[in-house]
Amino acid sequence: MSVLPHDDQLHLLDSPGDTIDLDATLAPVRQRGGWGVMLGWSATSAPVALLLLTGIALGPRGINLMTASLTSLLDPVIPVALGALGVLVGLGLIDRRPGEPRLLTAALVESGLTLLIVALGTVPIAWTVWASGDSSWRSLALATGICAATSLTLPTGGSLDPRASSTRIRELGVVLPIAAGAVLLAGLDAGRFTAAVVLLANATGITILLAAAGWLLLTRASSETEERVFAVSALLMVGGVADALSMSALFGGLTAGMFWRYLGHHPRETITRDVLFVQHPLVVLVLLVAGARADLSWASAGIAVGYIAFRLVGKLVGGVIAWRMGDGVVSRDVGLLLLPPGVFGVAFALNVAGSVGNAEASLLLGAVVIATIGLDIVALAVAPRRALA
Amino acid sequence: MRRLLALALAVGAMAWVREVGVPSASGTSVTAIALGFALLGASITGDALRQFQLPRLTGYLLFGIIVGPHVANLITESMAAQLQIVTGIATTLIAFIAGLTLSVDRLGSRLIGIARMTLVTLGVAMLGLAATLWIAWPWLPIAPEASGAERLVMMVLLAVMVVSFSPTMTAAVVADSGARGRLSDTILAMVVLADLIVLVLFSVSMQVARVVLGTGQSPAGEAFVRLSWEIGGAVAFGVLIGVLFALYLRYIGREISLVLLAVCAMLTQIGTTQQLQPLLAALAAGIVIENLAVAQGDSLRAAVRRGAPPVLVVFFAAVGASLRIDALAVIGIAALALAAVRLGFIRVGLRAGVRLAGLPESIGEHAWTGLVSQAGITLGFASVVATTFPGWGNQVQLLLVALIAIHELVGPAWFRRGLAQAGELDARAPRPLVVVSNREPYLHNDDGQGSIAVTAATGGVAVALDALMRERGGVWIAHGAGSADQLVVNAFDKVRVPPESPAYDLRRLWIEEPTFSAYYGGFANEGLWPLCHVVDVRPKFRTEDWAAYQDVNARFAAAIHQEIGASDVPVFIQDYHLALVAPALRALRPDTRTALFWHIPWPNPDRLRICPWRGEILAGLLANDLIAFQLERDRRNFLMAAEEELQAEIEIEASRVRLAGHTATVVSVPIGVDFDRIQGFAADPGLIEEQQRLRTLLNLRAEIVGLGVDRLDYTKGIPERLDALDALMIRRPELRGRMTFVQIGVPSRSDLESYSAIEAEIDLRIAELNARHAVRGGSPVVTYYTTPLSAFSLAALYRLAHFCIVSSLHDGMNLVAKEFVAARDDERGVLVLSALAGAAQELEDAVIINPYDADAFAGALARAIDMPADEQARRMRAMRKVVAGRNVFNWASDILEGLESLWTKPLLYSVRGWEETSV
Repeated sequence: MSVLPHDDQLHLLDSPGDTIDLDATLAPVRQRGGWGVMLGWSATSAPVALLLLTGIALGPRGINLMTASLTSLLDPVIPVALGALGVLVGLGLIDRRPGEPRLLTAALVESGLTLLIVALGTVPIAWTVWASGDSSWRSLALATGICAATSLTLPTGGSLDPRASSTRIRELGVVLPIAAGAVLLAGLDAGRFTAAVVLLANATGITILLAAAGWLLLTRASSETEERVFAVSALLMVGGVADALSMSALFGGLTAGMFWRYLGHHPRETITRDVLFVQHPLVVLVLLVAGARADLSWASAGIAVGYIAFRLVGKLVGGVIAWRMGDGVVSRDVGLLLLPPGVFGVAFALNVAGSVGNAEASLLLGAVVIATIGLDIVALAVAPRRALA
Repeated sequence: MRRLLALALAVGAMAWVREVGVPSASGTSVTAIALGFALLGASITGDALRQFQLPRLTGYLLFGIIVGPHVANLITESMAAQLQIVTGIATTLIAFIAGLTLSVDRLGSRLIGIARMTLVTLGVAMLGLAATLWIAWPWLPIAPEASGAERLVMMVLLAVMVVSFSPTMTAAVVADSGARGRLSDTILAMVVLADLIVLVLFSVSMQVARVVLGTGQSPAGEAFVRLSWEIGGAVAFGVLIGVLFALYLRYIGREISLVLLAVCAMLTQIGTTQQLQPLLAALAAGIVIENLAVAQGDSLRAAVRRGAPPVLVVFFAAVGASLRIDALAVIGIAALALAAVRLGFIRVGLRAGVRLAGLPESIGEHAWTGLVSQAGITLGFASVVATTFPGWGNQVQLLLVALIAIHELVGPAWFRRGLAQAGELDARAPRPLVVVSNREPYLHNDDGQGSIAVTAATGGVAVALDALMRERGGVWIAHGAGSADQLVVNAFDKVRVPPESPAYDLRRLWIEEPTFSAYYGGFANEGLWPLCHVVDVRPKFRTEDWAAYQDVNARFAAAIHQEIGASDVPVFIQDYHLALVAPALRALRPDTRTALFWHIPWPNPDRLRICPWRGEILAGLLANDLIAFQLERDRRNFLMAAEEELQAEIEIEASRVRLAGHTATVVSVPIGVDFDRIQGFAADPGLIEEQQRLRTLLNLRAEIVGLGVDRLDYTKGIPERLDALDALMIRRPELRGRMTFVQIGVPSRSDLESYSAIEAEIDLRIAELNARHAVRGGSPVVTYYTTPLSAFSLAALYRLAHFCIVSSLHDGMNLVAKEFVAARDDERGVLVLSALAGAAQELEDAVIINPYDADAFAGALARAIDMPADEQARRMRAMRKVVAGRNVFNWASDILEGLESLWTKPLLYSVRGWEETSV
């Protein structure tokens, strides 16, 4: 018996002869009932809307328990959390399963199309609400598209875990937005294209240097505690570099994660274990802080409406194209399955808000928070139930 | 080398970051990178310094100083300021962990003595310092113009702060050096108690200072209210947090490390904003959990071990980065003088305190070395004073920072030296141990030709404990069973062993007949053994056997009491023969630390009811501090029995049983084999020759060889094994003459009826089996050999066999299964293992059988014979991983570590986390 529907094809191990007792593998998922299911909380999903609303309620616009000074205390933690999320994506990126190239292509096309549709769709709204007369509306529209293109909350923990094709597309679908986000942030910081490229290259070089240091240490750690100390320090530095250079922490994490993924089993396992240990608190932190910091204005609401509408279109159209390109590997209703917005969109908006720190960034964060809540509600009504698990 | 290269890369990355963008970065944007760099660099430096026998934390501090703003400036001023975020959480965490140290139950009667010593030391040191400061005030660079009441309050405040200690530094040095003993225990408890008192005194002095110096413009009444709030409110808040945290641990218990850090952050934040003493609140929370929520304490300690090390490494590095070496130049002479005066008065106070508390003089001699260090709490005081009283407060802060710099540089090294001089460092002083067992590790026997031969026990447990004793020294007390044992002992019935390089004493106990037979053959082997093994043999319980058992156990206890004298060496008691040693010993020496390992299964409560003296046995075992079983199943059965039979108080989560005011911890620690030694045999070039010799000895001509190695015991399922071989030969007649099963069966306890019966039955069954399936010119089905073989010969046989059968009807573990696996580094051979042997719980890749199901058993044998080489290799590889990961030395040290950690202060957990490999 499988808990997955027949049309959402399983993406399993590389050998057709390998058998997996899916009932046993997925038993923990199935056993997690009650509140966990009701809130949409599982190993790879979170009650995004609920946590964002909680953040808003606890923030300055609510009961002001999460005061501005308190959230500023959390400032250094946010890039580390984002970096850790990026690391998780990077660690799970390279996969030698059958059908992986097709899934990667489908994911790139789907996320790219959504990015484009949302960015173009929100241009008029951004231009309207952003009356300052400069060219910031373009960056704002592009950032909105980047946030809307992702659907991921958390990647699956084990790289050999059985997973549905839609899950894999969701995981691979964050790569393009993260890369585009890195370029955008570098551009915003540096001003000119060449300067942005140089800055991005510098940041990537430093991250690789740190990842190499982490790798050297993790391959010779003498105890689990030492491994943890080294893993934590590597994560702090990877997130910290992005923060110090006002770059994308998600991209820094992705780069480091890919580095560790390539260079051997042991560091990969150690880092994965330590990031998985803190992943849920990190997601909660990101969402609560995003909620508390969200600039809830009419302008952000206006952008959010466009965001929701164009993201729906983007995901459905992108889903259809991904299905066609998937050549039997991707299920027909993948677009519907990708409707829940996940955490990465909010994470990127928070990244922009932290790095750029201007009014456009606040507007973007507010819009993404509102749109994410709205999309989560829409997904509850429209998306297939398995998309929410 | 890799670490240094990694550090170089990190330094390069930091320089690159600064080159590219940090100068323009805002304050908080550099926090994460500063934290990461401090953590990584300090860890590597600490580890590097360890190679030079220096404490790791000196390395953390040095790293902070070197990369800090005052030297290399890799961590800039703003980065160093950002690191202080961790300082607040870390000092609260330290106070919290310190609270976890204060277990009234554990410190017991010593608590009063330590409290007395602490009070006297603090009193003398503070009064002495205050007097000195009063006299020297005009020359101190603080506020020379102050006079009268103003000068008095400043002076009192300074005296309180200057005397304060550092629990973390003290604990870190103890953990770092692996010190164990009364001195380290006493100092740890003392610094925590002292800090509790200093915290209260600081709050009081601050309030008085605010009134006198008019900072808060609050009248005396209001100040009293504020003081009550600051102290009482902090304690109440801490208690509340402690209770809530305990409830969280009990009912949710997830991600405890993170919640712990969040709680510390909350205590810091709320404490600061609400004018509560956060350190006092944290201390109170820790004490509440340790003393009221005992069951949750262990999971919290595990979380501390997991979450605290990174925070504390950063803390030390941050302290290092904030230490202003230049401050020494400005205020150096005053700080040096103050440090000398502080130390002098602490020594005077300690001497008086030790005398008044009635503690050993040796403690007073070295304890001062543990009271030199100062760190987070003192720094916290300094910053509070500087914030509250700008002006002279800043001068005080500067003075204290200089003092801390001095104390941090010399404190850890001095304390380490003090511990070494007190003989508590593992490198210099072995930690002796008392092992008690029925069987002795070395037997002296008359060889019949007028000389005495020494025979060493070859069992895995005996070898492991012998190795441990060689390393640690001490006394092994056992029944002298060798024919020449009495000839070689001295007047105290002792002989130094091992004969080739004496390292410890073997104390022999002489147990005369018929007492020995009643104790050993009767109660232990005709009563307890069948009681604990679910087999078809009825236990026999006779009153005279019970009396002998009690008597012999009491004699063992008296011998232990004689041997340990006034020392506090731990006692390791071996097996079911000695269940009543602990209560008898406790009657003589209530504070002795004992651990007992019960090697055989523990029966379920229904079966236990067969024993008329089950209550006494249970209570006897519960008089130990640590009781270890082989399997989880046995541990659970024991806990159920303790609850049902004695109505003992059980803490399920912590696996602790409380009976008559004593708490015993119950654990399962599966025993292993000496993996390396067996591997060594397997790789010995002489192995082939030995195999040839065995082939000749056992007349092995068959192409397929099976193997069984057992003590002849009814629990081993040998008749069932023969039934399965019979069924196999019927099912696969082509194996007749081609396959031989070698049964090594060493007779034991043959004087007992049940044992002689099983020996006779096996003889008969083998003869019948060989006759039934005999093939002219072919090999017999079973070759039976009853002479014990050496470990090397056994390894040779293991390597010869195509399969090995362990078919126990019930077995605590069965080491033959693990030995077979350890010997097969060729990754060949199949282990056929009874599901009813404890080893089956670990060796899941064996071919598991039910010895009672002869047909299925025969089928499993056929499968073993036909198993393809790649499947054999896959299974063997998996099993070898398990066996290598739990060798017998780990087993022994796990139990001892478990026993010693019951006394280890929780504060050590926080720093021991990253010392696992070195302590």
